[in-house]
Amino acid sequence: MSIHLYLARRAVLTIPLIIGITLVAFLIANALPADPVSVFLPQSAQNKPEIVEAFRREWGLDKPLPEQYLTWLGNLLRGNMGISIKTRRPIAEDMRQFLPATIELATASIVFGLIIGIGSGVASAVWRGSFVDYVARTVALIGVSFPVFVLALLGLLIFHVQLGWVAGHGRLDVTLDNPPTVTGMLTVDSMLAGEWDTFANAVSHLILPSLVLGSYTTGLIARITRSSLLEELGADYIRTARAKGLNERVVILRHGMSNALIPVVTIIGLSYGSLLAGAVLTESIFAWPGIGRYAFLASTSQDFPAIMGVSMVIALIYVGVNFVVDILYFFIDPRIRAT
Amino acid sequence: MIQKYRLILLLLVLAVFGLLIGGISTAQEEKVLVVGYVESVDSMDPARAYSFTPFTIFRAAYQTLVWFPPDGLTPLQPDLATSWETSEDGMTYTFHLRDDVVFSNGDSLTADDVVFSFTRFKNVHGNGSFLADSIGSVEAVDDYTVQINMSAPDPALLNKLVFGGMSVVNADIIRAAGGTDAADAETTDAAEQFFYSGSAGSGPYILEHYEKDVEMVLVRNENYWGEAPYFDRVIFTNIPEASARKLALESGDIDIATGITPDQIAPIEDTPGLSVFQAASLDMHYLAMNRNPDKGGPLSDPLVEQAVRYALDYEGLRLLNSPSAITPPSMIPVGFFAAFTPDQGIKRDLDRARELLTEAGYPDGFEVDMVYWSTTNQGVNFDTNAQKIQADLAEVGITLNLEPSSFDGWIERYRAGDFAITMAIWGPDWVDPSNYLSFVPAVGDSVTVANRVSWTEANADPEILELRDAAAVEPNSDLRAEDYAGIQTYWQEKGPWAPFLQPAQQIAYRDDILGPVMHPFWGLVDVRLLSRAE
Repeated sequence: MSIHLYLARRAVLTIPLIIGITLVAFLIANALPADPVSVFLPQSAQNKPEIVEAFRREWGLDKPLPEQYLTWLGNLLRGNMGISIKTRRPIAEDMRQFLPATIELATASIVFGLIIGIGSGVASAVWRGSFVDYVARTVALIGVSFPVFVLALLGLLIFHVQLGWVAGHGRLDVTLDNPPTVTGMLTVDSMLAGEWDTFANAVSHLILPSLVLGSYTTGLIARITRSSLLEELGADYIRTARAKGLNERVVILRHGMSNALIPVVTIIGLSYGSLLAGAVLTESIFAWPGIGRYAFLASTSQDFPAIMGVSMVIALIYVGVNFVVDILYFFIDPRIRAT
Repeated sequence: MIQKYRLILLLLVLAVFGLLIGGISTAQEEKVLVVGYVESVDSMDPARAYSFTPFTIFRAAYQTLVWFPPDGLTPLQPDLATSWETSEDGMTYTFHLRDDVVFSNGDSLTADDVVFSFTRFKNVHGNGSFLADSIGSVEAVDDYTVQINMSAPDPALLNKLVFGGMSVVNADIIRAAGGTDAADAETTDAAEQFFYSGSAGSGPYILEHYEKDVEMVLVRNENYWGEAPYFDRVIFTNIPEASARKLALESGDIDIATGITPDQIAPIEDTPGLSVFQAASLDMHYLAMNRNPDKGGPLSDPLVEQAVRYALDYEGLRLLNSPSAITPPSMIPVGFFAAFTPDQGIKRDLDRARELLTEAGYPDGFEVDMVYWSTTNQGVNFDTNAQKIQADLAEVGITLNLEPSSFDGWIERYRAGDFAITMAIWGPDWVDPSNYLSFVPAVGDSVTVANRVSWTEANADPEILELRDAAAVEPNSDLRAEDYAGIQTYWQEKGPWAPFLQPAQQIAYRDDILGPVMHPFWGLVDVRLLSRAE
C-alpha cells in the first residue's frame, strides 16, 4: 500500500468520527439540567418575558434540538464557538489563551516521558535483574502509582522552595512580562522574540509541572518499553543477529527496538490526549492557566457553550494525535506497508 | 559518529543550564508587592461587580465618598467628601467634595462624576444595585456639592457608600467607552469590557493589566492627588491551591498569601520570616432550609428546622475551623449594633432535636441532599464544614447527601431556590443590623435572601412581619435594639436558618511587610496602606 492511499484512507475515517464527536459534545452539554436562560440572564432580566424571548431567539433556543445542533455545527464550521458564560468572552478567544499553555505543558511532559521512559525501559531490559533494573522499575512504579497532587506539592517543596533549582507557580515569574504572542506557548514565543531571559524563566517554570504531569506516562512508557523489548530480545531473530557477530548496540537499538517501539507509539498517542484533558490537578496546584482547569470550571459552572467548545477542541486534538500515530505506524511497522 | 552526538548533547545541556542561571538575576529597582490570592471575578466593572477580587482592585484604583478607618469599622471617615449633612426628615443627604481631586488621566473629579457613577450603578441593575434601592436620585448642586434624594429614609446610607459599586469613575472616559447612566442602562450600557483592560478612577493605583485566571497588575497613579503609596507596582497572582500559596510564600515568590487555612497557621508561624495575622471575620456561615414543601420536604417544617439547630455541634464546628472563630448566636454577627452575645446562642441538645423530629413526624429521620459551594473561602474549608454537619445530623437520623458544586452552579440554584438545604455564607454589605433584614420575609414584591427559602409574606407569621417593619424605621436606638432582639429570638425558635460559624480570618505575610495587611471589612487587602521595611 502506498503512503498516499494509506493517508487518504485514514483521513476519510476521521470524518464520521469528528461528526460523532460534535454530536456527543452537543448532547452531553444539553443534557445538563440547567436552563441557559437562568444561567445567562441577570436576575432582573429573567422576570421580563420580552428579554427572555429575545434571548431564546438570539441563541436559537426556541428551536427544536436537531435544529439547534445544526445551527451550532454551522457556527462551528465558520469558527464561531459561541460565548462563554464564565469568562464572558468568545470561546475561541478563551481557547487561544488557555489551550497553548496546556499544549506546552503536555508536550513537555511527553518529551520528558519519552526520554526518561524509553531510556530507563531500555536500560531495565538490557540489564535485566541488575541494580539498574530495580531502580528503574521502582521509579516507574512510583510514577504510575503516586497521586499527582502529592508529587506536585513534594516537588514544589523540595526543588523550588528548598533547593531553588526550578521556578514555582505560574508560567513566568510575576515580574516578567509575557513575550509578544505568536503561538501562545511562552517558550516558543520568547525564543521567537529573542528574549532569552524570558525563555529560560519559562523553561524553569515548565520543568516541574511537566515532570509531575508526565509521571504516570513516563512510568507507563518505561514499563511497556521494558516488557516489549524483553520479549523481542528473546526472539529468534535477535539470536541470529548476535550469532552473525553484530555489535550488541546494533542488535538492541536497530533490531530489537524497532519492533519493541510499536506498542510504545500506541501508548504515546493515547497518553498525549489524556495529558491534554487530564491536567486539572497539575494545573490547579501549579496555577497553570490551561485548558484542563478551564474544562473543569466550565463543567462545574454549567457553562454549556464552553463545555461543548472545550470538548470539541480536546477531541479534535485526540483525533489529530492518533492520526499522526497511524502515520508513524506506517513507517515503523513494515506489515502495514505490506498489506 | 556517536562521539559527535555526545558532544552536541553536552553542549545542549550546558546551554539550557546557562540560560536558567542567566535568567535568575534581574536587577529590581521598582518596589513591587506580590499578593497570592484566589481569583473570583464576576465583573471588573464597579457597576456590575459583586465579589472579592474586583473590590480589592476598586479600593486601590478608585475612591468612595466615605471610607472606614485604616484598621476598624467605625466611625466612617471622609474620603472624597470632606463633610456631609442630612435633612431632618432623612430624605436628603448633601455631600461636600474635595476640590483638589484628579483622576488618573489628570481630569478634575467633580460632582458630575459622582452623579454619573451613582446613577449608572443604580440603572445598570448589577448584582449590587440593591444598595442603591433607597436612593431616589442624585444631583449636582454645584461642581463640588452632591445631593442624594432618598426614596425612603435609610439610616444605613453612609455605610452603603463605602461599597465598591459606589466607586466614583471618570464619567467622560466611561461615556466614551460606551457607558451610560440612562434609565435603560441595563441594556444600553456597553462599558463593561473597558474595565477589564484598565481603570478610570482617582485612587493611588491604576489597573495596568488583567489576565484572566493569571494575574492583575496595579501600577502607581502618577497623577494621584494625595500622598503617594509606597509600592510602585502591586501584582495579584492567582494561585488556586492553598498549599501552593503557602509554598509560594515560603519561597519568597509572594509577599502576602490570602485565604490561609487554619491548619496552615502553625507551620507558617514556625517558619522564620513569616507571620500570620488573625482577626474575627464578619462573615456568617449558615444553613438555609427551604420553606417550599416541594423543595424542602421535611425541612420546610419549622419543627424540623429547629431540630437541625439543636443537632449541630457548634463547639466542634468552631474548633474545626479556628480557636479564634466565634459561634454566632443569630444571623447578626457578634459585635454589630444590637447583636446577641455568644452566651445567648443555642447549645447542642440531641435529645431535644430527636423530640422535635418525632413531634414533626420523622422519628426515624429522613434523607436529603445538600448542595453547597465547594471551596476554601477566607481560609474556611466548606467541604470540611459540610462533612462535619453531615456527621452531626446523622446522629439524629438525618442523612445528608452532600452535593459539592462550583460557585456558579451553587449560586444559581441558591438564587433560584432550587434546593432543600444549602450551606451559605453572608458577608455584610454594610455594617448595620439592617443588612440582616434580608433574612426576614421581603416587603411586598421586593426580593431578599428569604425568597430563596420561600419564606415570604404569604407564609410568614404576622409576628415577624411586625418586628421587621418596626426595626426598619425605628429612629430610637434602644427601641431599635429591642426590635432586633425580637427578630433574633424569632430566628432562634422558628427561622429557616441555622447560623453556625463566624470564622477567624487569617492572612499570611512576609515579616518585612508593614501596615495593616487585612481590613476587617470583607478581609480586604488595602494595598495603599502597605510598605516594606528597608
